[in-house]
Amino acid sequence: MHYFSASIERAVDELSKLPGIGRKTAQRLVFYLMKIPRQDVEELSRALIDIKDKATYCSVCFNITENDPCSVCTNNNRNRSLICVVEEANDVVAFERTGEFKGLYHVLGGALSPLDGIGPDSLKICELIQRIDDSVHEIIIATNPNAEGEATALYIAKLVKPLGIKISRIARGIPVGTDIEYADEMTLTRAIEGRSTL
Amino acid sequence: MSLQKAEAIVLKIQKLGETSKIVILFSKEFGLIKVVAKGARGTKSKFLGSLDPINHVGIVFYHKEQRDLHLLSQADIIESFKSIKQDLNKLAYSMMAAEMVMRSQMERDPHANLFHLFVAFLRKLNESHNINENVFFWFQIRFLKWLGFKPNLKMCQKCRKYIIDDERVRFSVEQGGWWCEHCSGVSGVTVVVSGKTINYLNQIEDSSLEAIDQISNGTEIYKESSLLLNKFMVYHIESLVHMKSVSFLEDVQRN
Repeated sequence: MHYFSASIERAVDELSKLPGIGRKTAQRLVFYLMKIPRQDVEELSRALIDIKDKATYCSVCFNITENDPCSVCTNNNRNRSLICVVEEANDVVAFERTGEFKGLYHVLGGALSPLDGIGPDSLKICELIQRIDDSVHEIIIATNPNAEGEATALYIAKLVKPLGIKISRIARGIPVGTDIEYADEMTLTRAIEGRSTL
Repeated sequence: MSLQKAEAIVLKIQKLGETSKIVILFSKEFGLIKVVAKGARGTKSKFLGSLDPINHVGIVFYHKEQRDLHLLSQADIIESFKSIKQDLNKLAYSMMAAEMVMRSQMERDPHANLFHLFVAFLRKLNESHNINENVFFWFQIRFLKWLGFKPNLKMCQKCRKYIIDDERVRFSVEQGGWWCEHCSGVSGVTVVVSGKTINYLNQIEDSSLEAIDQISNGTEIYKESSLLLNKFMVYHIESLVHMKSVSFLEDVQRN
């Protein structure tokens, strides 16, 4: 595709490198940016540069933060005996939205995926084991309830169990708002296993 | 575009966009199939737990001629192999088998015998107790046979004698057979293994899946069997070179 302006061509090229954005979408975004005020475009470009300049990974939990260690790790009001292990930083945001969990987090940076070549060395599993000291009483594994997430949970459990620390898995089963008749047998089995006393 | 039904094993899942998945399956009727499961990552998706690797499923999909990516309409679990998913060692073996199938098979090229072999392997692995290696080697030897590359483990390639346990022999990766210590003429890449390993693999080859538990084994025999079969497999089937699941299996067995 040839444009009348080299700068537009360059902007389309750069935007189409982003995941999920093809050249057509990139072109639409560039033409939109042409229409909005210069100040808005500057804000956007500053925001993007700030991501690279200011955001980093917490050296303790590997969540995304601007201050290392992050605000969760340095918060003395949080329960330091609980560590919730999640796959991605997005999962921390999801848990924090609930306001129910008051412990600490550990972000693995993914899940074990043998067919993609993602093994234990590609994840922050060693760092989790090194983090565990006498103050930690429970590790909650909150990886996704799929084959990769389960494999990761089993692998971590195998390493943590010899340390004599309680290790638990988040409940799996029927999502709130769905009908039981449409749930598959695997989901129902998990729901029965994870039932709680009323 | 026509609506088709198939019986399949889920091999691999890839994320697509915000909520969808691309699912690679090995089906009895169509060989490898790649489908898009729209909205499958949402909590209220009709696919929920059915699209998990190594699930045995019945699927309905919109088949598009001349296209590689089809649209999944329905997926129902036939078997979920729960015990495999709760055991890292079993999971690692099942993933290696899934990668072998995925890399060796083609779209629009069904292989019903290999499909039945894969399902039988997963069923046995699911119910086995600490004989995962026997079950995997049983699968691997038959997998090679269905692809036309079965090694000849019965007798010395030159003098035709049968092996005794104490002997050390050279297995030719290129020629797919072994030479006893008294015979010469073996060429190319070789693997030196014990007579016990050759006898063990012969028993695995001759055994039914039901009787596979009764074959005795040991760590050294497992190591040699694995080395022999893997080297032979990757030498003859180019698409299986550098399988990613092998390092996961090694990691699991090391820890």
